[in-house]
Amino acid sequence: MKYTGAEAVWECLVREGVDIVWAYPGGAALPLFDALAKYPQIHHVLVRHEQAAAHAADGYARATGKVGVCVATSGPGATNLVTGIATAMLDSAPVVAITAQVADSVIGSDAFQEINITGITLPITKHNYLVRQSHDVVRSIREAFFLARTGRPGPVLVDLPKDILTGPCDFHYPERIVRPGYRPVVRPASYHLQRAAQTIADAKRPVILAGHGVHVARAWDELRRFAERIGAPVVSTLLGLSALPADHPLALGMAGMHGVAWASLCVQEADLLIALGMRMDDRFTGSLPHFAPKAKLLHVDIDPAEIGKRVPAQVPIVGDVRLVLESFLKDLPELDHREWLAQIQEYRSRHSLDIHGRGPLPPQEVIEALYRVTGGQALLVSDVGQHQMWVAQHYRFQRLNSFFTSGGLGTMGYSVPAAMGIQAGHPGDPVWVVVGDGSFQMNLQELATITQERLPIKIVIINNGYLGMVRQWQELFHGARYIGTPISGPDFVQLAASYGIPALRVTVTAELDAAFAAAKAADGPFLLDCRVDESENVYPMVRPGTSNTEFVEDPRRTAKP
Amino acid sequence: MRHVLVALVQDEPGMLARMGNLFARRGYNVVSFTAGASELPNVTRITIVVEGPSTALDQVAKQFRKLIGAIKVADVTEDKDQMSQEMLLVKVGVSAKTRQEVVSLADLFKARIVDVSTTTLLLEATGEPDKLDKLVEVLKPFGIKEQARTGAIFMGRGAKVLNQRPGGAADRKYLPE
Repeated sequence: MKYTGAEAVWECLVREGVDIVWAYPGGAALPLFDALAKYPQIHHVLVRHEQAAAHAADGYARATGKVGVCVATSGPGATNLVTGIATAMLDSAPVVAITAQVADSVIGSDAFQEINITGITLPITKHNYLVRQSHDVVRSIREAFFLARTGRPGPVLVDLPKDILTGPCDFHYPERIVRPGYRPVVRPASYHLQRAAQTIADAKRPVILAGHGVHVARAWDELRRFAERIGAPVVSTLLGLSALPADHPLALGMAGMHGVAWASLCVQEADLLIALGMRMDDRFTGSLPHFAPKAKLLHVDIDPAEIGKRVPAQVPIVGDVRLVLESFLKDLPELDHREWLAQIQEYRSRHSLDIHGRGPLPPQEVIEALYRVTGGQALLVSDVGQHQMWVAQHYRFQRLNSFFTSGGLGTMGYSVPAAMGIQAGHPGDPVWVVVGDGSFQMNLQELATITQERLPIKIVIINNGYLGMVRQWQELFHGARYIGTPISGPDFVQLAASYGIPALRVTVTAELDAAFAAAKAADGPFLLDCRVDESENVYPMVRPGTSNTEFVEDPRRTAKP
Repeated sequence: MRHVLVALVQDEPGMLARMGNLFARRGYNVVSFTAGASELPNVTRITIVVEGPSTALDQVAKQFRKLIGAIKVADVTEDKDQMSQEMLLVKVGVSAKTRQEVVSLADLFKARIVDVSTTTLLLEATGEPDKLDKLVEVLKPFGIKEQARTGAIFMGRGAKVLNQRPGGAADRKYLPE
């Protein structure tokens, strides 16, 4: 069958099961868009900035487990994807980015809108392709999807010159992919598994650390059964939240720099850490020499390079988290750690997370109200900053795989466009965005896309007129000199109105429940502008470079026995 | 400490840039880097000699294995069965008085004289990198005008080969899809 290169691209996408792409056209990408008319089964969403296309594809991928696709033109279209691709890379989200390139004959001549995007994205993609010959189009796209979703997922970029898109292209969709050397170890070695089972059976104070890998491997059920089987508490990383419902008696929440104190203490006191699909990020471990000094580390990851990268693992297991847990469930008897759990309960009551908010509307109360109105069942997208940490602390995720945020890269502006992808992947489900006024202003142009696509996303702005997390660091570490952090913004209620989105402003706690109820009741999107006190800080906080036991608690809190 | 990585990589565009990026990113000092055809079609054999701490090298080797297109990466630093060879071209300044002395030094090191001018001798030598270092050392007093080295290549002695399992293994076999 003969196609043009552009048609071949869409043919591949159809075969990969793609039904939505996030895209922005341009000169070099014209043939792709022209050919799209023949593929009504692929819904094309015109975003308002290419960065949003990449974030939306990433959100879609995280929420559905399928590959998200974004499309951009050459030059600035491609470079605008970069932050979104890097975000997907750091959080292992399967994204395929398709970029158009200037004609092959002029590559290297600094032609109009020519940029070496494969060079630029080399360190932020799992792999990338510059297609120089029409017979490589199909193979490259096929491989891109395969690489993006297998092993440790990640973004893959395919750059397609305009003349290859317009030229003829033989279409043969390869069944098998031959990538010598690409052999992600999915099945763990039995020798390591046996050693691991013994180590778990011997532990007195085991703690399970649930990372993003639990979501990627879709190992939620196995995680719950494993935790119950061995009677061990589950501590989450930021991206590991919602791997176990928050009301499960063994779920402790997030540890680390702004983790809840009892979870951090529990990690520090453990004699065995069973790390599942997490990479020992510095925000999680705190100072490495002080990290979990009494614990052995049993580290499970599908990426061998993560094992021993920051913390040496006494028991390393390379493999898919779900398969590893299945094996543990076969090998391990019921274990009882009642004393250990009682001790953790004591940490919990001694260091409870109380709200001592300042002013008429403490930001933490906003998160609590969100929890009440959603019952913890929302698909929750958070941006980056103080509000992100308040979400991590105060929202009790009851639904599995329901928390989406930029963890590794910490990309401000992630939430609104990512929510579009999440909502598109789960059309009937409630999607809520919690975003600071700074982060919101980084990608607020996507309100137009939300309106255009009739996506019923509810946006909650934690508006304090500051880049709050940076302000907090200035207060604590830079003599309270607030340079570059006070940030003005438009009237967000009026702004929403001009996009056709109803909105309400909330200024006191008493108004919260009614406002959230109105947002929930709205058929379409809704925006809440919550004016909170700017001086509020996130506690507990572990100062950078110190041990996770040295967390600073809210100074307003009364010490408990 | 000095480490040696030997790798088989697919011969495809961008592979060199990917490898370069890896070493640059982890702050490694590349002493030498050689690339050339291997016994397999479209597979390049790479030898990289790097300077850096062992723990970080372990990470680099792991990251190297993750590159799509890397078929095999082996750290042969500790492998006593490896032999290495490197080629050197060195142009030494000579006068009528010193020429004979350089010629006999070349003989001693089994270096060949491949070009002669009134004021220079061009020597070619092949051998273990250490031996070439020594040759350069003894030639220094005469004045080295120009020098080029290929970088070392390594290969294990005996019947053992780097590519125990040939490339081309179908990935599908290892993946539940």
